[in-house]
Amino acid sequence: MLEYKKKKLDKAQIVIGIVMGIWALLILFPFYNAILASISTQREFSRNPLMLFPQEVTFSAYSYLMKATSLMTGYRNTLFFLALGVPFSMLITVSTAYVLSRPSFPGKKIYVFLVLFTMYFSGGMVPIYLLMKEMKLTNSLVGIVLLYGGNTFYAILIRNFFQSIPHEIEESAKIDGASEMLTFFRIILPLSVPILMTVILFLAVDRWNEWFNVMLMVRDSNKWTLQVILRNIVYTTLDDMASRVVSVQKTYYSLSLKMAAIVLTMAPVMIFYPFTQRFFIKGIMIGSVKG
Amino acid sequence: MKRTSRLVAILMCLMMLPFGIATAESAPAQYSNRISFSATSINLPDNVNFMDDAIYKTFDKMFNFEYQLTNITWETWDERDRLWITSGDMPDMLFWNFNLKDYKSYSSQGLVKALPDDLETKYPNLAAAMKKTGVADYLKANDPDQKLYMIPNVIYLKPPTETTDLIIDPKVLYYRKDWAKAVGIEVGDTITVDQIVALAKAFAEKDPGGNGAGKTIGFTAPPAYVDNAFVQSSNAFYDQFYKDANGKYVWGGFDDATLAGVKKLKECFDTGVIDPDYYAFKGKEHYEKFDSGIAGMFVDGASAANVDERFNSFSRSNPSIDPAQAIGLATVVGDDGVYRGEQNVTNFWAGLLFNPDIDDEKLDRILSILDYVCTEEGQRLIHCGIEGVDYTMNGDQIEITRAKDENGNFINIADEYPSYNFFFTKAVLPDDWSARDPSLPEAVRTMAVNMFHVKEKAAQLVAPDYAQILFDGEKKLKFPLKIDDLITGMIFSGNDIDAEWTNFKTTNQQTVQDVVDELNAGITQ
Repeated sequence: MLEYKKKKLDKAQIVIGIVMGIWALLILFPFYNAILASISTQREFSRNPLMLFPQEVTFSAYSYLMKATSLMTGYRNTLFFLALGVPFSMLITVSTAYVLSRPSFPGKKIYVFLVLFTMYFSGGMVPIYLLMKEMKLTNSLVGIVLLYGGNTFYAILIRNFFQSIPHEIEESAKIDGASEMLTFFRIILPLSVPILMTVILFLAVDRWNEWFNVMLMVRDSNKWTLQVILRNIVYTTLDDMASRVVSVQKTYYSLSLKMAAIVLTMAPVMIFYPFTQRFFIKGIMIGSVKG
Repeated sequence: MKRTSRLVAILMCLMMLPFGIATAESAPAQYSNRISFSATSINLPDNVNFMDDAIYKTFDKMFNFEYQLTNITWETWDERDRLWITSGDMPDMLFWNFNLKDYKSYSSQGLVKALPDDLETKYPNLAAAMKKTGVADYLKANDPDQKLYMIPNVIYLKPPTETTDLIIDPKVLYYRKDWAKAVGIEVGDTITVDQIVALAKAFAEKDPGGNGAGKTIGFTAPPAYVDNAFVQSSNAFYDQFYKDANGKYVWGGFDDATLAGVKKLKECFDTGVIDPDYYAFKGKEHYEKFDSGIAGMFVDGASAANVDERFNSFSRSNPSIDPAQAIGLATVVGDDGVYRGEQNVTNFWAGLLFNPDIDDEKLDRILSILDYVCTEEGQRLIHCGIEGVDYTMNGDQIEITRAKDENGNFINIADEYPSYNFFFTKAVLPDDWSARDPSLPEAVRTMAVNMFHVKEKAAQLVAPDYAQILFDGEKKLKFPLKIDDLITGMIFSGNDIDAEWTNFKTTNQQTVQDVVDELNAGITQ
């Protein structure tokens, strides 16, 4: 039977522990403070913004946000966007990465150049909008999914990972009669789970936070994603009409609403993140070494 | 025979009845063809039907139309509008944040529709409202083809004071009247900066709000409103180009009077009179500090609707305090007692643009709707609702009969009629109605209107200089200096204010001079 001895901490470790502990608190406190701001009254938070817990708790900001019927529409649209967008992006990104990782094929240099070019230069907002309009893809979430397509940066990451897999494994599979497709699906992909998971998570976070293209391309508010709707709710409530135009809307405690909106937005991501964090770190490090 | 005739008459009447009903229910003959148009509007509520309430139905009965509305929000308004216009994908009618450079660019490229030449004869109410803006005539006169491409939204059809047609800056000082009483200071209709300082210091030191030592903020407001009180009270043109006594254009930002105001502001900030976080305010933070009893004063707009909303907001945070007893309004004047509010206030804000491909019938129908919006009857329909349901007429007096909420205030008409959210910012802005809105408490309206009267008496009002405001020289259109940001930078620099001022003038001298030269060369009269 193994015996574990209690290891005595030396002074340096204690100091490092304390410093890191304080550092961790400094990182966590803004999140905690955001939650407090979302559930405290205007008067109490204004008087004591660094409180540890409010004396009077109110969920009126959450109630206001949840009562906005559009919030559920936002969650539904974002989940749809996520469910369709991430697999589609993965399909394009991984296919591109695999092709780029092959030692040689006709026109490879031009193809690589064209792929990399899109990483540095885009068509611009108006040309992209015109293209989407001509293809009848505006005002559609499917259109936004297609607009995003693959991701060049992630394709390069995955390509680097694919290139780090020993060629001998592929060669032995081919000697055993495996086709290119079979090698890809049965050999390459199973060996690449860490980088694939990482990219899936990055894409999922990207899609979860999507608002810009939806804001520009989608006019029908029933198709807006969560982020667009939350921004709309918060700004509608907070902003007076500009200049001399009178406001007809009731004003709400803006900080509380802002923070409640932030909590509602980040909560799903924060709940899932700890379970997947190991893939993030591992995947990035693996893919980023070999070029 | 007689019986037969009677029977025939009765039968004929019965046969005519449906036609009679149909005629009463249907739109006038000239609008017999039902049209549908798309439009944008600011801050529309989500998931409501804009074509299912009595206000829309009344309009529909008159003009036979349906609309598809797209919601726009402040923070993305300009970007979306620009994208839609430049990509030729704009709705039939676009609610647009006027910008002279873009206006000229869009109109010269044919990206927006010119308004019909017979607008004045065909839509007289709309034309009259547009004339009140001043800007419509100016834009038309200065267009190469003498065309107009935008309907500017008029702020006031009837000026709130009824004694001047000039638009008066609505900003005033809101202060805690009950606190002032508690610290033994009486404030009249006007207040100087020195009096503000004395009051703010008394609030902070004597702490009538019971916030605890050092926690009461005397004065709070976002940077532009802080400057309005402390700098503009020294120089009305501190943020504008204007003609000096020699008839030459200069920039008010460089005036010695501006420096005097900045010095006063710096002194107040350094002595803790002003909220130390004011530089970071972007929205309504100052309201919240005031409502929560942390701050004792702020500057903001004071149309009757603004004042009413401030009172209601205060009541929600302080249900046991009567806002009429707790909040006072005062006009900030200079040490000489002269009011120097914002100058060159134009009687319009934002406008309506039309898709260049809109057909004539659709454009005519929309303009007809807007023409009705500009009538007293149209405004009453939008702001009061349906006669006999939401209000009754007693002579020329309107008596509101709308339901009240738990606080005894009339329920918001926008909650009752979602289409209000579309109509209330089209062609005529709600400021116009707010000064005479019978659903607002009489005391609130009186307070707001009184402030306009006070300003009128304490100021030498100047008519807007459209030649300067709408001057489209390249240098002026690209003039990058934002005086409020620059002043805030000086206040927070921590350096000697005279040194900062010298540096500010030296650094920006050429930029300002270029515009001044351009204005003086380009505007001959």
